[in-house]
Amino acid sequence: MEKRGPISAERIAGVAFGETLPVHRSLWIDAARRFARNWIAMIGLTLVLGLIGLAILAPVVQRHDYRVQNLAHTSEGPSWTYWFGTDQLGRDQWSRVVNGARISLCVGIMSQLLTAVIGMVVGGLAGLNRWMDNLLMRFTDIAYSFPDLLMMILLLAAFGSGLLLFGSVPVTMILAISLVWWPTIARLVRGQMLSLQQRDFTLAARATGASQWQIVWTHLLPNTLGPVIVTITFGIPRAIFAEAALSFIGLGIPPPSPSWGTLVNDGFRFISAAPHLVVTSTLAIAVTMMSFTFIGDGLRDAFDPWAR
Amino acid sequence: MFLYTSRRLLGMIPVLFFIAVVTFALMHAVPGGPWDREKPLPPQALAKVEAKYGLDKPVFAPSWRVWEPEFWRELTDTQFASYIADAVRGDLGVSYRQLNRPVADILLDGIRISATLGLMALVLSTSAGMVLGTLSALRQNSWLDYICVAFVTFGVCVPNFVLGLLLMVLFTVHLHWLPSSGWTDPTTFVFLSIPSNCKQMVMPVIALSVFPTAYIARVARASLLDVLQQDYMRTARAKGLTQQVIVMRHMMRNGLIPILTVLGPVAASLVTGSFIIEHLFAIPGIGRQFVYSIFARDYGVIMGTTLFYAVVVTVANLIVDLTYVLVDPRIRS
Repeated sequence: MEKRGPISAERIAGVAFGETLPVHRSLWIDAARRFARNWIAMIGLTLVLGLIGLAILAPVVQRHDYRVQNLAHTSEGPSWTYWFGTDQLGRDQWSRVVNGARISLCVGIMSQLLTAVIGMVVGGLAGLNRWMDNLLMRFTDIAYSFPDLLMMILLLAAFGSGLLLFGSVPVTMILAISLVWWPTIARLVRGQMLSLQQRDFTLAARATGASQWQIVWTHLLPNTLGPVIVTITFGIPRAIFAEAALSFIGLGIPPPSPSWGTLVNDGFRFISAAPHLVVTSTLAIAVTMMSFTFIGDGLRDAFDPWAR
Repeated sequence: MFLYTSRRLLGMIPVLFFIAVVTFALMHAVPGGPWDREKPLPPQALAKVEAKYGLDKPVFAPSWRVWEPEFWRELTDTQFASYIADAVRGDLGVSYRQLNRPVADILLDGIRISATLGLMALVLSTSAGMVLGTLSALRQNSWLDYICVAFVTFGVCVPNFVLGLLLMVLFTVHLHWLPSSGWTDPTTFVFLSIPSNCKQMVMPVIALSVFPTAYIARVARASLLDVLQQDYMRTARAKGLTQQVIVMRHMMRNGLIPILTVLGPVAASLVTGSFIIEHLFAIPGIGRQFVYSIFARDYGVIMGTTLFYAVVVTVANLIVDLTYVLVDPRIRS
C-alpha cells in the first residue's frame, strides 16, 4: 500500500505548480531507506560485515597458525607479536578468535536460516489451510513449551556435536538449535498469514479473480517476510549465545576447533593465570551479539515504523 | 475465567506427557549408561544392578509387533510406563549416582538455591528497572535519559555469562575482593541464606540481573512515554493536580501494566535458575544438577529436572495470559 506523508504547504504548492507526486516506492525500498538513516543500525551492520570479512579471510588475517603450539610463549599477555596474547599451549589467541568467528557466525546464521525455513513451511501451511492448522498448531504448541536450552543439551548429548562439515559447519549444533526454535517462527508466520488474509488488499485481489497461489506469492509472502527477517536477525545473537553456552559447559564443539564457546571454556580453566583469554573471547561474543541486536532493532523499526 | 484457567491447566497434561516421551527417548539415546566407570562392572553385577532398577525392561515398547496380544499385555511393563505410573503418584524415583537419594530431595535442594538467587535477582532487576525507566521517561532527553538508554541498549545484548566472566576477572582475579565460587549452607532458604553467602552472591546476582533490569527499564520507559501523551494526562494537569498526584495516580497506574506482563517470563527464567551462571560460579542449583545428571546418565534426575522446568515454563505462560485478561478487560470475551 502506498503511504504518503503529511500534506504540507510545500507539497500543495508543488502539486499546484504541476510537480508530480512522490513516485510509488515499494515496502522494501522504503524499509531500506529508513534502515540506512538509523545510525546505530549502520554501526551494527558495519561491525557485522567486518566480522564476516574477518571470518572469511581468517587464513589471511591470522598472524600465526591457530593450531601451532609454541611452548616457549605460553599464557603470555597481549603484545605486538600476539595481539590477543597466547593460551596455555602457546597458541596465538588472535588467530584462534578469528578462526572461531567462522564457526560461531556459521552457527548463528545457518541455524536461523534453517529455523526460518521450517517455521515458514509449518506456519504457512497452518495459516492457509484450516485442516492443517488444527494438526500442525497442536504440535507447534507442544514443541513451543519445551524448555529450549535443556532440549538442546539433550539433543547434543544424544547425537553428539563433533561433526564439523568443511571444518567450520557444526551440523548437529545447527540442527539442535533449529529443532528447538522453529515454533516461534511458525506461530509468527501463521498469525501473519491469518491476519493478512482478512486485509482489504487480499480481499481486493480475490475479488479481481486472482488465484490463491497469486495471492500467496504477491501479498501474503512478501508481507510475512519482514517480521520473519526481523525475528531471525534477533535469533542470530541468541544462537551464538546458545553455541557459546553449550560449548562452555562442555557439550558443544570439541576442543581442537576454536569456536568461541570452546575458547571461553579453555580460558575459564586458566582464568587466574591468563585472564586475557577469557576477556578476548567473551568480548568477541559480546560485540557480535550487540552488532546483530543493533541490526535487528534497526530492521524492526524500518519494517514497522509505527511500532514502539 | 475459572473455565478458561481449568481448560488451560488440563491442556498442560498432554504437553507434559509429550515432553516426558521426548526427554525419555533422548536420554536413552545418549550413549552409555549410569554405571559406566573407568573400570567397568563385571557383567553379572551389571545385570543385577540393572534388574534392581528395572533398567533391563524395554524402554517404551517390548517390540514393534503391534498386532500381537503380548505387545499390549507387556506395554505396561516398560521403563517409561512404570516411570509415568510412579510420577503420577508423586514418586520421581531415586538417583543412580547419588547413593539412591530420592530425586525429589535433589530437586528441592537445587530449587532452594536457584530460587534464592533468582528471587534476589528478580527483586533487584524489577526495582532497578522500574526506577530507571520511570526516571528516564520523566526526564526525557536529559543526560539522565541518555545514560539510561545507553545502559538499556548495551544491557539487553550482553549475555549473562560474558558479564559473569568479566566480573570474575575484575573482582576475583585482579582485585581479590570476591570469591569466584561456592555456596555455603545450602539448607537455608531465600533471605535466611544471605548472611552466610553474601559474598558469593554478589557476582551471580548482578550477572543474572543486568538483562532483566535493562529489559524492564525499556518496557517501562516506552509505556510511560506513551501514557504521557494521553489526553487524560492533559486533563489531570489542567485540573491543577500536583505533579506527585499526576505521577502516582495517573501515570504509574496505567504505565506499569505492560511491566506486569513481562514479569511472568522474567520471573520464571530467573527463579528456575540459569545453568550457565550456576556452572560458572559453581553453585549447586537445579541447573547444575541437570547438567551433571546428563553427564552421569542419571536418568531419574534428568527426567525430574526437565519436567520441573516444563511445568514452570507452562505455568508462567498461563500466568502471563491470565494477567493480560485481568488488566485488560477487553480480552475477557
